[in-house]
Amino acid sequence: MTHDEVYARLAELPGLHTTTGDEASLRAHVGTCGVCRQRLDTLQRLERHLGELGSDAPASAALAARLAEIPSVHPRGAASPPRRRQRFRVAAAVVSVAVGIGGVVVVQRSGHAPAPRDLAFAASASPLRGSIRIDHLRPGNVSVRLTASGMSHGEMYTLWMIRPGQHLAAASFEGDEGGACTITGAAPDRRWTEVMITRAGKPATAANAVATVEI
Amino acid sequence: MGTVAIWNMRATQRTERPAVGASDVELLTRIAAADAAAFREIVNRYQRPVLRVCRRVFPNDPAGVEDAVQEAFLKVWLGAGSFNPRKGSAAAWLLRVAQNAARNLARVRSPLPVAEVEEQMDPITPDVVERFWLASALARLPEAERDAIELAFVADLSHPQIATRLGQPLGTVKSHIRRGLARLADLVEADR
Repeated sequence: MTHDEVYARLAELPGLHTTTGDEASLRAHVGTCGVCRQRLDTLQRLERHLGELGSDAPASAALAARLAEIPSVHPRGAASPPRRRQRFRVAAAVVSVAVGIGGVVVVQRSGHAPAPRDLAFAASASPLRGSIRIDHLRPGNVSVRLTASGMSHGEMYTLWMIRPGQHLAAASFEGDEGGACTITGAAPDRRWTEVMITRAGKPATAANAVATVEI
Repeated sequence: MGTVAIWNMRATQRTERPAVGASDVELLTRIAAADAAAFREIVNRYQRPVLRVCRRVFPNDPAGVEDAVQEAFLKVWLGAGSFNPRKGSAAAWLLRVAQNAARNLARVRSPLPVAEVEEQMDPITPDVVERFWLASALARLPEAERDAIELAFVADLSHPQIATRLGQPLGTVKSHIRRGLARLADLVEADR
């Protein structure tokens, strides 16, 4: 039996055994051939890992739709510049969109939706500053796009949607090596009156507010 | 806004080309160049293992799981340019992205203390990465081979039981399993 013939049949060995009764000759070749030995090791390892996978429920149709929309909701264009990893090791330029509820932002605007609003903000006690775009891309949802700078690298913040008697953590974010980031989140439209930024882990109280923006 | 929608469509059409046969590294490289077809293929391959990572962090919160998965793939779409194949495999990079997405979302939404969240994260060892990759690689097999392999190894059925379940001759079932295993071995060597 040639090497190629044995190699093509190695998948018979781990748990299946041969159907032609020549298992001994296959194993005899493997004992003298490093390539086949390595292939057999791979097959045996894969069998072991397959047995450890366990069964999982598949993604819901709603999640599949959300994932399919990502390229159109977050267009980059074919000509978007490559990351500057040769010169700067950018840790995480865009991070941590923790969508509160919903989380799907669609491109089409409903007929009577309010126009998007751009609101500037600046923290009083730190260099953090930027702008927030509030938009209604889908009936019943409000999307929030935050562009910020002036953060320390790796410093985590939480973006809250606020209205009297209720607050919702809509996103978390951190600065890249340049202290900047851009995130997009979404939340149910509940007549929010304010967007608040706190340091991560802090409750949404006036005392913890790094910056607030009236909507 | 209408202008934006048209621009998106043009961007997608311009970059569309088949991605099914591409390696994971090639897909990430193409995603870094805003290739939507490559992104759809990486989602098809990896949504199952990414779901598993996120389910461990949000065991009783289906909405949290789905938000974390969405966040992970958003990072893949926006951050594929930071993948460097000289530093590790595509699967290891994707596993790290999934863990970071789940971890960051858990900081905001999970009732679990940080230490307990970390306990749900597997250390990124070669075996853990290969299991993560393997769950994705099953999606690349022909359906008949995938069904036979999942019934044999995941559901732990005997070959006669699989033959009965699938309504196929025993020899056909064995053949599908052999071919599927050989194909997985080819893929693991190609993606290494």
